[in-house]
Amino acid sequence: MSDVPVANRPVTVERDIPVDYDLGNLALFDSNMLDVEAMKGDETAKESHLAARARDSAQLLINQILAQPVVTGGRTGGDSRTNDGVFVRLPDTIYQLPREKPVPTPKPLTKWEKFAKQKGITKERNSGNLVFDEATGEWVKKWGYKGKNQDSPWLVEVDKNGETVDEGQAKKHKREAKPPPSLLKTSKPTKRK
Amino acid sequence: MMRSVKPRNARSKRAQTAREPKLIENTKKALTVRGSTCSLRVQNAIAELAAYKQPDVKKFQKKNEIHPFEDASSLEFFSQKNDASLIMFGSSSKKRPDTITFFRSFNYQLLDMFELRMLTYKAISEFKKMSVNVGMKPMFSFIGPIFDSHPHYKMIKSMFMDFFRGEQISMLDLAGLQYIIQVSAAGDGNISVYSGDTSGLPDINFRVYQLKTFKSKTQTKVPRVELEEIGPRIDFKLGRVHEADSDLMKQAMRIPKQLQPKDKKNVETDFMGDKVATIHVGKQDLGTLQTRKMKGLKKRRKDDFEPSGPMQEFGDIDIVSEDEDQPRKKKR
Repeated sequence: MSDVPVANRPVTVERDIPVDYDLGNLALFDSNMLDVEAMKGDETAKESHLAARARDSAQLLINQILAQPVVTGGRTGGDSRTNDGVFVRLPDTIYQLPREKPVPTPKPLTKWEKFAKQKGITKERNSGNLVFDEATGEWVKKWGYKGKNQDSPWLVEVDKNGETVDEGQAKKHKREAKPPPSLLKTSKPTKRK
Repeated sequence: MMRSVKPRNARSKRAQTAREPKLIENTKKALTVRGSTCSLRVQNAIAELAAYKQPDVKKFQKKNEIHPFEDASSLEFFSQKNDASLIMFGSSSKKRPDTITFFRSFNYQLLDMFELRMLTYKAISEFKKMSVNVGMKPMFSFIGPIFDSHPHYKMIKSMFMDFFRGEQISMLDLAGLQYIIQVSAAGDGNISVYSGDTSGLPDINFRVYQLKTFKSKTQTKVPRVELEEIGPRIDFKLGRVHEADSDLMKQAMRIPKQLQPKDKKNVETDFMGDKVATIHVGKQDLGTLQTRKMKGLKKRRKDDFEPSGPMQEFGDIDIVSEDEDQPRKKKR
């Protein structure tokens, strides 16, 4: 095998019993037995056998991993610090390992929360500034410009024709009736030395 | 037991919440502890094994008068104090030379542990100098049918994976695939499944290899993998074993409801093992359905519309043939 150049060696591995994978943990479980003769032999025979098995396992794993969906560059949700590189989306783990701590239990209710639940008191949430005006069928602001809390004036001034007097408009008309102040200004003769 | 105190400032509160049980757990932390007598060989081996657990490992330097199989309470205390659920404990005595005890806790209580006696040991320094980046996830290879059949070996498999797998991730950077840990045991799976005596059980070979990939000529995408051993190379013999309490293990293996896969609606598997799905299609609006476009069916403007007898009768047929011809012409 070693005399064949690396590039020409096969990338497939044959196994009598198919191996199990747990790609979430990058693990491979190979239930094919180790070669008894090689393991009983001298150290070099044993180590070369183990290394060969390891190589096959690594090849099998790499083949499986590369068959997973690949994401290249960009924000990948993996390591946020490295945004470049080729990422592989790993499946969920299959081989279950024990937890470190028990499953978190929900916090016990406080005395008030218990009482509120019993009475059906719910916290009122701030629903924003818009309310539905049923009269007009539109959403209007609760307050502010064109807000709902602004009542219509209870007393309105009316002119001779019976039309409402707009105070602002009246003031404006009065202003416009006068000539502009620039015209009213009389230029003083400047003293010449 | 340690008392639980109410945190007095934000920093200690953060530290306390970091320790709380979580739905998706932190990476398990490890400790390395020395017994009152611990040979240099074991110390070195533990240091080298711990190197592959970096950065989630804390190394204790002092000697501790601890015999885990007689009283594991001090290891439990260390586990709680340091929020570390994995402990490697090294000891060496006349009766049990060069022994590493692997201890795992659940909720700061002993879950399971076993001791491994080092038979052969070749340090990292004796191999060709190789570098594996800190915090890289290893690949695992467990070889031998015994890892599926014998309860002790199942535990060893679980423990080694728990110890070295590092952070749990969903996206793997391919540049991070740097080394493979191989744990193998000779012997078939038919070894008498349970007897307290562990002397007849096969040795466990722990090997670590670095990956090298070469562009392959045989296939385009998949590279050819070659390995180089980087050590440590250790052959272990199984010593005493503390099996997990079944109740505690059951608790530890619980999957929170939120993480359990939801059963999919409308998807079933029939008795042939085929996936059968029911699809509910919304009501189709036939009024807006796109039908064949024909000149005769086009909406015309009023001024275009000039009814003439023969044109209307044959108009449709002519136009159909015209429409069908057009794409053919394009192909030519």
